[in-house]
Amino acid sequence: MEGTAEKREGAVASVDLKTVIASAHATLAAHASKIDALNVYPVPDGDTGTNMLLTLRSILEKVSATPGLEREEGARIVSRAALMGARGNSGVILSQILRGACDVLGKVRALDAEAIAAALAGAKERAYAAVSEPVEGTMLSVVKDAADAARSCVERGEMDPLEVLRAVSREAHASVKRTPELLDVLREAGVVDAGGLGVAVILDGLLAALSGEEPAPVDLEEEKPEADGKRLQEAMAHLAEEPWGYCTEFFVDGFSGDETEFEAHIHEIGKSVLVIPDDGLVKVHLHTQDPGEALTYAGGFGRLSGVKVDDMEAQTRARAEDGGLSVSSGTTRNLLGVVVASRGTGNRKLFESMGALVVEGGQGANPSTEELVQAVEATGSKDVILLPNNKNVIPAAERVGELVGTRTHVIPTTSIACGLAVMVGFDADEGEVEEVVGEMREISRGLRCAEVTRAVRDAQVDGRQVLEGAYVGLLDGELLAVEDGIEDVALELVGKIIEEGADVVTLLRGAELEEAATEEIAEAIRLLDADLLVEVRDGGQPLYPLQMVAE
Amino acid sequence: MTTAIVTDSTTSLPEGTQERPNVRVVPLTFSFGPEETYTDKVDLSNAQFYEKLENAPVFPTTSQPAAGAFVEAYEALGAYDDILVLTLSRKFSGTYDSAVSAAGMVDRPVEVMDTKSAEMGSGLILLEALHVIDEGGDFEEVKRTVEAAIKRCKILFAVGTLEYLEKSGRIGRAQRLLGTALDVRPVLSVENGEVVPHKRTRGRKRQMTAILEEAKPAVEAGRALAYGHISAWDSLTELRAALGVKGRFVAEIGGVVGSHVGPGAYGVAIL
Repeated sequence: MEGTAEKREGAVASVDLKTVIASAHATLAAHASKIDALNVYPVPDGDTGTNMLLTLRSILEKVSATPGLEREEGARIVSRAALMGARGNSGVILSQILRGACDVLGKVRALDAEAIAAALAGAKERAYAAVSEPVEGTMLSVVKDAADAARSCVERGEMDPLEVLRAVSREAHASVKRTPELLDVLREAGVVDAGGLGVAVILDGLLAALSGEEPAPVDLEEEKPEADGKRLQEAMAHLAEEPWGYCTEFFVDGFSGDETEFEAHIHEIGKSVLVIPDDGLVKVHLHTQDPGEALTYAGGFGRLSGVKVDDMEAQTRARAEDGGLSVSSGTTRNLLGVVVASRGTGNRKLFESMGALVVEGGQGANPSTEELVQAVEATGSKDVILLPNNKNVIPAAERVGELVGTRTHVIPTTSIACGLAVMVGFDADEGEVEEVVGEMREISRGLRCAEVTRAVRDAQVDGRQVLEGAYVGLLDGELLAVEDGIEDVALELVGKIIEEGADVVTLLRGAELEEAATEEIAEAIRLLDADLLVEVRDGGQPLYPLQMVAE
Repeated sequence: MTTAIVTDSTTSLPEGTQERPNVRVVPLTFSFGPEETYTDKVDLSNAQFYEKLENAPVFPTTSQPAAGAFVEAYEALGAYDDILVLTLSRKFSGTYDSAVSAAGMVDRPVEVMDTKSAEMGSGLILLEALHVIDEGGDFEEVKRTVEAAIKRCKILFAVGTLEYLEKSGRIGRAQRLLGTALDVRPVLSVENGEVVPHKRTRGRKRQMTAILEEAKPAVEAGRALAYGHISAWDSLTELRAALGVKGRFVAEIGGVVGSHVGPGAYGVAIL
């Protein structure tokens, strides 16, 4: 990274904000897929690294767009951009950490040792306040330990801000290593906390920018999971994309040359740029009017693979014709609107037919707070109900209210199927807002949500051996069944649901499941209980071949 | 100071009521195509009717009684001082208009009132009127009682399927329940003469719970109830047991109303 800061006695001077953020971003980018793979459950939902990276990226974009920022103004912009760009649980907590730090840094006279300790204390406070029930052994503990380390360093009389930051960075990594001691699920899964590691890596990036040193290599030896770039690739494809030019994605294999120069050039020729180095492989995503130029340039750095070029403008036109992204006519002028996060064309159509505005995103590709904010504003309604339909989207949804003039009501649905069942209670024209919201909440409380997915790695969960590729059944987020066949898992889940007295079950067919196979499962379920109403809908959601909801 | 009551066949009546000399029932008719016309609750048993409803290629149409049928009823009650006519909701049928036209064709005063209800609802209202008559109340008292009963009366019912409501096209504001992406089995209510969605529910148990939530306080307040169902004896039995009240009567809902709500429906009228 360019733009090394000078060091003056007791304070860091002339720090370019963009350089600092870019460094944090680059350091995190290098580890994002490894962080994604640190997942307690072997199910495909480990997008912590990706979410934190995308949150940082939105800050980087905002800061790059306004050069020559004073510290106070810069702090304000970072704070706001973090809030708007926050994705997923980890992204939202990260945004609060940054806000807490920025609140302090915007006011201090110099970036000295004391300022750093105070900023970290502010970060810690904000982070804990953002979570209703703080859990130790998570990124919260890491930011707390980092803040404590800074404080005691200053109290010992350390005046050099870089020395304070070095101590902070060391302590953050030590804290990450301790997370399994604090949180049982981590110990059982044999991993450290993903969000915590993200915090430590970001601190490395900050230190590198301020000191001009290379960030220390992160030792992940003890962690078993192999890095799997799939989540990241998928997120790349689902970024809040501006409908401009061609969405171009490719890998550069056996990368050789100046990474910094490479990244800078890609930023120059494209928009929505992501350059992610990963073990000699560099993944690139950009929007450009001239994909040929980008490919020719990148070809000079290594062998190209996985080239994918999509005409974004054509996609937008098609979507608009399809009635896709536009606000459904029924929703526009109503006092009460609904915004949902959902994945899959089938699900989108189901939600839209019931009057909701759909933000594409959820499992594996969490939407940012900003995308939710835009959708809420697009409804034009005074009151808007938000259905996150994923536990990782709930935190972002809960932030929306602070950013819009609309009254928002978050019903914390954890799956798309649950969201659909809750939509049944929605009627924009009938009754008072509180009544409709109350009815939808009541429906939500009476639901059981079951999901079937495949294990992404071998694991030991709740004393069960889970092999990679096995079908895993979750009931309200708890692992309930592990089988080789999807039907067996589905039947185990439904068996449990029937025991509890449900009489309607809705099956949402995912993108990976054949129609005939779904029908077979539905038939088998009907045989379990003749009184059970079983309905099947085409959802098209990725990662979950089957989602079910029971009432 | 004697009063007689005329009503139409959509009013559910407890056994023996129809046989009373001061009660007359004018039937509506329904047709499966131009060649097959039946008199409501007379020509076909309920079992026969619902079998036809499910299997016939055409959806039945219902017809209000001709004014002449009401004229006949009024004339047959010449021995009574006053006649009160209680019809089903004007929003469901033109029966009220027939009754009013008929009143203009006879040389005696006839009072026509819209019950804004049907089946077990209008049945409960009619029983209130008979009660006042049996107690020796005068015509004004009868009318006052009926007016108050019409205001209080409410029907809650669970439908087995939205299919028939959709085909009949007579569900007013409940129309919005159609086209919901997931299967909805709502609880509907008849209020102020109209069918309105009471609660959007899915599944039989939720329907039952929604009716109980509304009906229990009414039972506790000592309000009168009557039940009705269409091929849904089991569910209705469950509902009665849960409410712990037998009700003034249990009606088998006839073809005219039944063709709109379809089999599997059950509910309760609260006065």
